[in-house]
Amino acid sequence: MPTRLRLVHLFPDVLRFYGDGGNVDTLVARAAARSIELTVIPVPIDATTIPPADIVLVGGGQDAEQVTVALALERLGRQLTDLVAEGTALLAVCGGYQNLGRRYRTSSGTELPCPGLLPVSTDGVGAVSRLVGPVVARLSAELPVGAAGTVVGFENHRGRTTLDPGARAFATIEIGHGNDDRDGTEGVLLLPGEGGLRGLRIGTYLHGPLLPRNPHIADAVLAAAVAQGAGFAELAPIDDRLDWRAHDHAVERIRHSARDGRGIPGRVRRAMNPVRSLIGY
Amino acid sequence: MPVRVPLAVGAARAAAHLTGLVHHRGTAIPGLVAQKIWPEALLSLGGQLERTVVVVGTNGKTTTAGLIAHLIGHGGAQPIANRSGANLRQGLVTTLVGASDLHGRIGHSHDARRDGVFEVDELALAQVLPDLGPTVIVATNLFRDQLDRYGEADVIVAHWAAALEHAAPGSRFVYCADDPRLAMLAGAIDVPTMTFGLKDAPADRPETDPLHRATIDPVACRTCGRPLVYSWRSVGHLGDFRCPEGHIRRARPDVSVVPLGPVDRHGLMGDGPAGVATVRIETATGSAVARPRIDGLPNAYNVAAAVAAAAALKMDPLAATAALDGAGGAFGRLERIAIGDRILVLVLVKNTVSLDETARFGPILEAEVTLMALNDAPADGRDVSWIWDAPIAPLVAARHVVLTGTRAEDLALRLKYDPAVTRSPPRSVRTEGNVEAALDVALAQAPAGGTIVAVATYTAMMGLRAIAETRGGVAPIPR
Repeated sequence: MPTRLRLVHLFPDVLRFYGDGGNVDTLVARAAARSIELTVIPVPIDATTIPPADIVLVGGGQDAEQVTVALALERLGRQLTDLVAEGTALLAVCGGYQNLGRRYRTSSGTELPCPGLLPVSTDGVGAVSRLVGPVVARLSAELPVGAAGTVVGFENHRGRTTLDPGARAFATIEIGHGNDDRDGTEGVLLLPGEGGLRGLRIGTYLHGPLLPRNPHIADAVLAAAVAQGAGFAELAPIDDRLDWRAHDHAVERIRHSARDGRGIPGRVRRAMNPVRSLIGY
Repeated sequence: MPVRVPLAVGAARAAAHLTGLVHHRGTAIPGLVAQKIWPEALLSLGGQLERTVVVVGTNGKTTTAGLIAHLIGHGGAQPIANRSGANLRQGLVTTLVGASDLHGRIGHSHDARRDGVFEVDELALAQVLPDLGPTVIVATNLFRDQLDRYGEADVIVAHWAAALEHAAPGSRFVYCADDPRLAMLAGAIDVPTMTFGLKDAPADRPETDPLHRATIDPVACRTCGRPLVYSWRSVGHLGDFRCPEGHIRRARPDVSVVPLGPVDRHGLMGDGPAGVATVRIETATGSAVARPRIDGLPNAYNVAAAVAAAAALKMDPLAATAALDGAGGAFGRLERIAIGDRILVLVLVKNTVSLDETARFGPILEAEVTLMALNDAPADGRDVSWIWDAPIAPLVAARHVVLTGTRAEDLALRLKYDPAVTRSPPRSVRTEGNVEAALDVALAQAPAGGTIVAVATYTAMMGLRAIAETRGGVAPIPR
């Protein structure tokens, strides 16, 4: 088992809304708990090269910054694809997820160049409402996370994402909107070796940040990085009680409020909002 | 006079009484009731005001509105103000109905017209401006905040631009010159402006401080899309900015402020009459010094905003500056409350930048215990991911830490995974689901005469303050 790994945090100067830096901290700490030193290499938006890495992490940004990101990916997309081809694990959240697909159309109708690293297309359709709120979803059974089958997070996106035919969703929505608010899918998952690339690929809309409250997903990314493109390595168990308490409590609260909301017409619930915000409910 | 006006006013008062019985902060409900019966309430009541100031912005609304009310009240009658922070349209109606007689009249005769100072929610500006008439609109700043509710900062810029299009003739737009989002907005609208900002680079902000880098929003030039460059930064993305292509640059503020440092850091903790910070205000006509009872760089901005608003109201800015001596902050904003022989310092945090600024104060506030309360009700913001974007270690290092709120576990994970916290760990960490129980633990952990810093989101702060009120430490929040 390697004792040193490298994590490239892509464009942290532009894509760092929604606490996605917490994903970096979580991976570093969980690697350290297995005696693996995970070095973080921030790669800014004006970089000309991406250094070799075992994990690449891309976060989310505002709609306005996605043009900037697309231009940077026009320069760096090929290198990124080559890295994943050799076994680098990729986790792309929200804006990063949209930008790394095959096609991304902004709200003004402009087609942005995309590297096609993830088999999805995204429409930033202008007038349609944003998809915002807490999410509970059932993880794809193909992800080796043991018995733990749920993922919890918070989504906030305007884009609607469509999976390519045959592409596998990262998770199936129980509560929330997911990729396109229609087909019940959330994110995209490609296992090591699939689609001709050796690296694990996860694209998702889930912030929160994703990894602290979903330690099984953090470990799946880490296990893929340790295995260097040959599936998932076995990681030693560590003390996860705090993480799982947060996960389970979040799932329980989101399910509870979804049950409460059921049966009450939207208009009535909206009219109650000032009252609810006052009483803190 | 139609009968529905006294009906509306009476019903609103009954609602205020009833909500006061059930829950002592029902400040939006009376306004909702009044508006239902009397839809023109805001137009009619607001139209009777002599001068109206509206304060919008992400951070500093309540403090700035309080300072402006202090300045207006300094020269005569107290202005009508929504001091409780109920800042949606119905909150303003509640305040105005409370100040009117049963026939919807404010003041008894025409020679006693009153002024109004209102803080207004970011997305409520368009719903109140048309009814309020000629107005001074103060924009404090525009940070990333409550993304679940507002979407993105650019959404608010667009909303404000549309609202200001409908500002009555004679209105003035007062904004922070150091905020590029506001500068670009001001350039796109046709309303006379007045600006405030720092005179020079702040002395206490090394640009390279890696702890605080993630709090800075990237802002791009709206003309060419290139990222703005800065010669210095102050709070979040505020600073001396310019477009690398030359499309826009920070303009020298009409009212500039120089923080001269605290008079007495411990004055922050004291409730005596002494000022705690000294700031110098400079305008085209000269300079003056103020010693308000609020410290820190964000409050220097708030002071400058209040003086600029005074100037927009045709008051003498230098006289206004002097009048801010001893002017205080607002409830729950670095508010010092005695509970028995312990001191509770209540600090509202609501977004990355306010947490960052609080963390900068962390080492200065000599406390033994830090209580952190994170709720995710709509008024707090349902998305709490912002806690990961600001440094938190300075608030917890070498202290007893008590975590509470509906999202206490997220705070626990935030501490668990922060390498800076691992390097400078707390003395202890405890999680208590119930806010009152958490406060009791914190009080027990502080020594006699000790201090507890309570860092809390909006509903958690209100909850803690209500508990403090029942324990006799502090007067209730004014309606």
